[in-house]
Amino acid sequence: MNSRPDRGTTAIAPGAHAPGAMAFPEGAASPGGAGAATAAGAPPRDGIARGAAAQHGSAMPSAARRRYGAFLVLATLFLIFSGAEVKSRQAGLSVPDWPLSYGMWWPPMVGNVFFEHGHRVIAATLGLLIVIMAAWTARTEPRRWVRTLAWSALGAVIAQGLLGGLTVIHLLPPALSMSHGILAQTLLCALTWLAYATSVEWFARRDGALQADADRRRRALRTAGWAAGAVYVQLILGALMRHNEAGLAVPFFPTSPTGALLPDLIDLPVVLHMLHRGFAVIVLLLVLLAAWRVAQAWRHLARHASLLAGLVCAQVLLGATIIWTAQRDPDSETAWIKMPVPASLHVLLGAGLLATAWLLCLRCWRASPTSRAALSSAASPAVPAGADR
Amino acid sequence: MMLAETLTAVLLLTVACADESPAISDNAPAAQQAVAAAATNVVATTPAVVHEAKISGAAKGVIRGTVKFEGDAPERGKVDLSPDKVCADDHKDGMATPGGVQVGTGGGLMDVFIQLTSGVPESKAEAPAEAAVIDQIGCTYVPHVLGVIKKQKIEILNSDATLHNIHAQPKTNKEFNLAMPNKGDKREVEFKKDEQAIHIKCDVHPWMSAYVFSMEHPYFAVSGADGSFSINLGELPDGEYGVKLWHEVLGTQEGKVTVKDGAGSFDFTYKK
Repeated sequence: MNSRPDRGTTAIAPGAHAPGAMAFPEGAASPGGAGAATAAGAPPRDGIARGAAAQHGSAMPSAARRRYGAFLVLATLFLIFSGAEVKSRQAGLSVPDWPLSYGMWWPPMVGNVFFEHGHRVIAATLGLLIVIMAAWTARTEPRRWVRTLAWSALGAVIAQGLLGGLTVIHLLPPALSMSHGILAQTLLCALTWLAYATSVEWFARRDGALQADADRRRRALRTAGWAAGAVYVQLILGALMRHNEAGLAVPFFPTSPTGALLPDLIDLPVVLHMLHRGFAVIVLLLVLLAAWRVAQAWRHLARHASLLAGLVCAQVLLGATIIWTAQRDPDSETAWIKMPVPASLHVLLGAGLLATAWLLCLRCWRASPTSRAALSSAASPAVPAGADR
Repeated sequence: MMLAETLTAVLLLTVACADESPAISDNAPAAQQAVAAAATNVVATTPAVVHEAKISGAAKGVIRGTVKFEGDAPERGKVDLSPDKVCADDHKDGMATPGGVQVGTGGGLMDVFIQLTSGVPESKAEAPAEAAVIDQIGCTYVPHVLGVIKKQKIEILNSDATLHNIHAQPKTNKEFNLAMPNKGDKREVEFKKDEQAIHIKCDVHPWMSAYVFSMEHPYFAVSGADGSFSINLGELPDGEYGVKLWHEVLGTQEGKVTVKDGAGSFDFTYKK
């Protein structure tokens, strides 16, 4: 009754899979489905892709859609960076009206208007691109959950635009600004998932026999999940700190010139700052542990895991750089001035870290026995080949 | 002879009337003078302008004084005007960061807000009908520090050929952020509650900032480029009054002044 081919134990690309190892040669898939970077209509380069395409034929999204999905992830990262620039340069209210800018579609791009209106333009463009993606997915995608995911991404980007407008109209209340930042990260996760769900790797078969080290893989998957969750929580804490102007509440790192860990006065900004700083230690350890466990469990994910480990270390360093590059405000006895570029890069890298951790999590899940078991039990006879995976 | 006596009498009468006129008129020329100075791109060297307190009623007494600065004044940085060509063209030789510690000849400290505190009667002053003015000119605010009676209208002008937003960040009054995209734009605002040092900023040009004091009473002044100020006392009786000084960088200081026979003198020195 099940029209889907049995995914149980058959490797789709004979010779591509070493016995006992997972079925993905390194480079078969990369963030955003880049591993599917075979030209539209051209034969896929590797055995996995060839096998997946042959096996799933009509269900496999076209190379163009796979690339488009990956492009949307990159575009979202760019949008997040432009949003970070708006905040870092205190340009959020340089355009007081919304949806128009100074009553115009295109105001003079002077001063901070460049950043705020530029962010709006990038956001509107991404919104349009996601509309296209949603329509494309709705038209060509047989899997209902993928279509739902695409529509959800569209809903998220619309909500994101409205939130952005509300932040301007209500003069940047921290709660709204935070929600705007957090929804952006959530949208990034949705688009990453969407891109991966259309990748060759998603469709590739694995030699699915439960291996002796299944426990290790389950543990690695769990740790990767915890790590991705921790990065997400850390981004919320970062938004909480940033939108309450607490980024330089503790203007030294790791200790003050006198060796103190904390400033003399412990107030709310200091608490928010230290919350972000303290949780960063947990994130660092969790992500490194996850990277180690994933690399041990799946050889083909080792490079991805290494990238994640590198990113988290770079992110910690960048966070410290924000403190180290801060300058005393000449007009104040106590205030410090934050350099915008390190702060914006910290936000960008944070988003990249989240997307990388989340994608690793998804890849582990797809490569894990849990995934195969769940999918096998969820098979439906009404679903065409390759659908609902 | 008769003609000479008549002329003298008319002259004396005119002077007497001038003395009795409300001090509110003093402020307008001062502001205009500052604006005119800024219009010729000499914002940083605005001539000595004493921003007189606005008092409804007769100005009978006055407190005069000077605020000085002693020590090494923090260096004022140069503004990067490159993001807006209009601003850059207005200041071809560059522009020092507006505000900050501006010390004039003789050590006078500019833009200190001086107000009477204790001893002032509880009676609430009425807001003058005339609006105070903040002009955006040469990509700076003129004046940089302004005192108004609460609910007094403040007319905000854009004299620049570039766009500005005017963003007030009060703590107890209502925050606003207004678009002023065109040269010649005017907006009128007011603060309904008394509040000290309301920060006004332009988010387009981050160096632009000003401070507005929304006051319950009219006994205040802002020091000019030479640090001098005068507070018209109106009907305020002789006695001892508390004085509070505020400077955006150097902070708040307090003192006392004695008014005798309608006159008082108060000098203060910020040290660093």
